[in-house]
Amino acid sequence: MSKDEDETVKDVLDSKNDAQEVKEILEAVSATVPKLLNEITEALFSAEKSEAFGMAVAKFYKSMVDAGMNEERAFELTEKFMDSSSPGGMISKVLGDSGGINIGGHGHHGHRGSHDKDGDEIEKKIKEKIARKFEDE
Amino acid sequence: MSDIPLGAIARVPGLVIRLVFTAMRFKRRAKKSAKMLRRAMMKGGMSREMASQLAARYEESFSIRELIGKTTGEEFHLSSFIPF
Repeated sequence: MSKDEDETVKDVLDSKNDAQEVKEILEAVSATVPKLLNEITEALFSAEKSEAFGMAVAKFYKSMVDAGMNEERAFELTEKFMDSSSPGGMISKVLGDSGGINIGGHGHHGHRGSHDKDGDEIEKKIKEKIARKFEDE
Repeated sequence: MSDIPLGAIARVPGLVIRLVFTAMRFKRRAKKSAKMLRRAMMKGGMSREMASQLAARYEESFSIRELIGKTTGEEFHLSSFIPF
């Protein structure tokens, strides 16, 4: 067998292996991904969890109104509470904070989240307090 | 002719259809869950209007389009997958 023929046979065998690999991946994906998504759906939206969460949100709102806060402000805070503790809010937060999966270099580069701004605000306040303390002394 | 065997290619439409059905089920369950949440909030003493607003917000947080947008780091448009 010539060298050229040898290489052709090798190429054919390699491409057959790749094709086999693709087939195996597709088989695994078609079997596991829909099942996994269904299980996540069941876990996220169970009737008991939805009801318990609804009661918790209502309790949060009522406790603030009972404490004397006006309804508008209490509603705003309840919205924030719900965003931070609902499963959808948590998923969004995780994805948002991580900047997402960078596909083709289109990520949130240079994005500064609210946490960074809060951190800056806290840092500024601490510096002011220290400066005031030094001035007093 | 492609090197990918016909058996593997034949699995793709099935997978896509299963994923579409899974996404539809996800959406339906999110809607049902939001309804239950609204009912529970009203039972807990909130007004119908407030409970509806919060339930709508809860349902929106499961928007597949937004979740994909957050995953990829940009807004999700179906047109971005179709080059024509």
